Parts: sequence; structure tokens; C-alpha cells
Amino acid sequence: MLKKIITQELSDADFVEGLKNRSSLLLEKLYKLHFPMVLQFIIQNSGNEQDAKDIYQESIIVLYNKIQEGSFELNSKLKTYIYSVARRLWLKKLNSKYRKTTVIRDFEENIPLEDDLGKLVEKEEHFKILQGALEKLGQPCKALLEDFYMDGLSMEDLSEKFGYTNAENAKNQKYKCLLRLKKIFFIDYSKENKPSV
Amino acid sequence: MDMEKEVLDWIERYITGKMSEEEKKHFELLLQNDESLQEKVGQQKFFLGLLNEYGEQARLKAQLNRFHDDISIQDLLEDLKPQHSRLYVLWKRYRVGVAIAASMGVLAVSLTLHHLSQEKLVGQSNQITALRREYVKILSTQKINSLPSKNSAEYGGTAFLLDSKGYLITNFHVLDGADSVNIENRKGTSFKTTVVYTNKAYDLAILKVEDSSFKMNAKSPFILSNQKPKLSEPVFTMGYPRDEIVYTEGYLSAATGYEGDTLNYQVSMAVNPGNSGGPVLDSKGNVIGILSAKQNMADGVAFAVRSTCLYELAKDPKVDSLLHNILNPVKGHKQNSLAGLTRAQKTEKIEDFIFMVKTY
Repeated sequence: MLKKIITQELSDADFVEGLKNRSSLLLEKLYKLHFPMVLQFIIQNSGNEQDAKDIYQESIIVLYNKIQEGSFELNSKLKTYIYSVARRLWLKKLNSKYRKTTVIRDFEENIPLEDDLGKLVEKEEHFKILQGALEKLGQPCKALLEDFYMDGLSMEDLSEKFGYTNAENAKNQKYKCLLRLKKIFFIDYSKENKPSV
Repeated sequence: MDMEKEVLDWIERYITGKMSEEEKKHFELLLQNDESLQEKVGQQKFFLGLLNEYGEQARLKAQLNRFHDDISIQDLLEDLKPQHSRLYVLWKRYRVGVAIAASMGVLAVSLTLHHLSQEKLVGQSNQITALRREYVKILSTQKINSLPSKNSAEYGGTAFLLDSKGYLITNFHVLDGADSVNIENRKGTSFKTTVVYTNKAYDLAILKVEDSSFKMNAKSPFILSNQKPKLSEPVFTMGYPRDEIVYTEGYLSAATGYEGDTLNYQVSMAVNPGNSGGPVLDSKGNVIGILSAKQNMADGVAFAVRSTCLYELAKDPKVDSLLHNILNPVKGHKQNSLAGLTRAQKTEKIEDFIFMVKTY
């Protein structure tokens, strides 16, 4: 594998294998390899560099998660898959912005995507709501929860970092913050999921 | 409030597997009978799972952002500027080198350019697909000692008949490597032909029918234009991307071919392998080009050899002897018989003069 990386002879299957093993080296190579294609697509379809970055990263994340889940099958070129995902995401964004069916100028072959792509996209929405709720939470709760749940800090570490007298204290604070976050999250969540009028 | 906190703690420890076996059994027993507890567990599971995944994704995104900062966006955007500047980008890159080379000898440069133009055969670039049709070889189930079937064609394309002497025009690449070439009319009758002229650089070839039974009931309607067509001119072609004649229409997109090629025009038409060699006609029914290739990465971008090339090639006495009367019609003799007709009438008139090419 290393020889392949050095001599740049990586195939699509190599990339999928690498991503399954969470290789950041292969992820980096993949990322840089296909970005120009998506950049061209977005620019030529009324987008800018920032749009290209956002859509491309979302597409790569979709691919990555699908591989991690184990439900990714390499039926066509990786390039084509990434293009198709990016295309769908961008079309969705355009349609929500301009509210009329947009005509897309294609540069690559476009393949139909499985329906569980919708599941992953839905998860993205949940993340957005969560992020919003975390922002509303403010400090120190945001940092406290992020450290515990996302960075896996222990109660002792937290009490040290945030200056609580002991671990039990930290635990209490954590729960207060968690309850508040949950409350905010579920309010926003039910707002988003109300059927549109 | 304290009880609530305790419950939450239990739930969390249960979900993240931090309970001892005994605690777990005890908790599961409680769960069985308590619906509201089940609901709470479900909700917490969802929420904690989300938090966890969110964290993972945040880390992933941070990684991607680092990769992204590495990319030089400006360079990429430069490459995306409109097509005509492809030549410009190449020019920008090499102009210093060219200036030095030029000062070392114009002869060297022109020889190099001449050499390069000879080398460029349509079909070798991976951006372009030459439109000859490759017949799928059907494996023969015949016994080993019987002769191989002579009826399986290798490549196919289109050719159009110019006059009563039996001269047809097609692309060079359609015939490339063939031992023998046949043409087949719309009704499926085959005629043997010989290749009387080829030009690889221009991707053109002239065939002559070698069959005494070959006879057309009308004069060939094709007039080869020596004018430059205008952009947006509606054009159409007929050819054999399949075993039946196919009509395709479009318009003239650009005055040059791929990457500024001065031997071709760019047309917007949905053409396929097998269309090569077919005539491209304008709205008046004049032949303005010979369809030869399409671009891979763009829908409906195709290229046709300019009909004016035939006039250039006629400077060669060999070509002149074959095409003289066609290219230099005596005044009044070769009038455009298609000009006033509707598109459908035009196609009706020309389809008998468009033949499928089969090479063996």
C-alpha cells in the first residue's frame, strides 16, 4: 500500500479500503483528487468557492460515513459517485433558494443514488439543529458538554479544567447543562419537523 | 430533581456499557415494566448517539478543512476560465520558451508545428471519441476446422455519395486498418468499394464503388460549401450509429474544433459512434462539414471536418482528378436542389445517398 501511495497508483478500491480503516493519508489524497471536479461543477452552476467547499465537504462526509457504516458498494467510479452526491446536494440547495426547478449543466455522468442517502442527509439536519442548540446554550455549558461527550474527558479532568471543587460537582454541572441542551434541542427539533404549511 | 439526575445517570451508564453485570440485570428488570422509563432510555439513546456522532463529524470536518487549506484555489479557478483561454493558458506557460526557440530559428519551430499537426489523429486524445462504430464480435460456435466467418464487420461509419461515378466521402479513421471496405445503402444492399484517397491529418478519405450493378436513380444532391458558416446556423446530419439511418440535428457552436483546431467546426449534436463520415448540412442543404468526433466530458459537443478542407486538398492533383467536377460546378449545372425544401423533404432527398460503411 505504501508503495502504491508513493507511486500514485491508487485505485478506487484502494481508497475505499483506506477510508474504511480511517487512513487520514488516503482521505487527504482522495479529498485533493476530486475537489477540482466539484469546484468546476459548482462554479458553472451559479455557485462560488465557498459553496463548492461546503458541498464538497458534505459529499465527502456522506461517502465516508457510508463506508464506515459498511453500506457502500463500489458499482461505478468513485469520481462519479462523489459527483452525483454533490450534484444532488447542490440541486437541493438551489431549489430551496430559488424555489423553481433549476437546470443543471452537467460535466460528468450522473448515477441514481440509493434512498438511504436521504437518511444521511437527514442526520446532517439533526446535526445542524444540535449545533444551533449548543450555540444557544452558551458558555461554560457548551465547552463542558463538548469536552465530556465529544472529547471524552473524565469528570476529574473536567473539574480541573473548569475549576469545580470535585468530580461530583462537575457531574452535577454536566447534568444541568445536558438537561438545558436537551430542552433547547427538542424544541428546535419539533419546530423543524413540523409539516410545512 | 435529584431522582431525575440519578435516573439520567443510570440511563447513561446503561447505554454506554458502564454498568456492572448485576446492575445491568437489575436495570433491565425495571425497564421491562416501566414504559415511561423505556421512553426516557430511547430518547436519551438518540440524543447521546447524536452528540457522539456530532463530535466525530466535527473532528472529520476539521480534518477536511486542513486538507482544504492546503489546496491552491486560485490555480484551480484559473483553469476553469472559459475554453478559449485554454490556448491562452498554454501560451502563458510557454511563451518565454517559445520566444527563445523562435529566436533560435523560425524553421525549427515551423518544422515542429508541422510535425505536431501530422501526429494529431482524431481518436488518440482521451478527451475526444472518434465516431466510428465498433461491431461487437460475436463468438463463432463453428467447428475449429471451418473457415472463419467473413461476414463479421470490424468497424462501421457513414459515407455520402458525391456523383454518378461512385465517389463517396468519409473519415480516414473509419477506414483505418481495414483490409476491405463495403458500403450498404438504406435498403441493406451492399457494394464493394476501393479506397482511392486518404488523408490522415485531415481525417478524410474518398471511396469509389466497384460494383457494376451500382446505379442511382437521381443525381447526388450534395453541394460542398466553400463558405464559412455562421455560428448558431442550424445543422443536421444523417448517418448510421445503428443499422438504420438516423437523423440528428443541432447548430453550429464554434468556428474551430477541439482546442482551436482549424480543420474542424464544433457543432452541438447528439451523435454516436457510427456517425463518423456523415455529412453535416446547413439550413440551405449545403454540406458544410463531415462529422468525425465528439467530446467526452461534455454532452452534445461534436466536431466536423470543414468542407472547405476539400477545397484545400484539391490543390493536390490526385484529389483534383477525383473531385474536380464536384468542387467546380459549371455555372448552372450544379444548382442547390435542396434549398427551398422543408427539413423533412431535404432528408427524404438525401437519405438514399447516405451509406453505411463496413470495414473488414
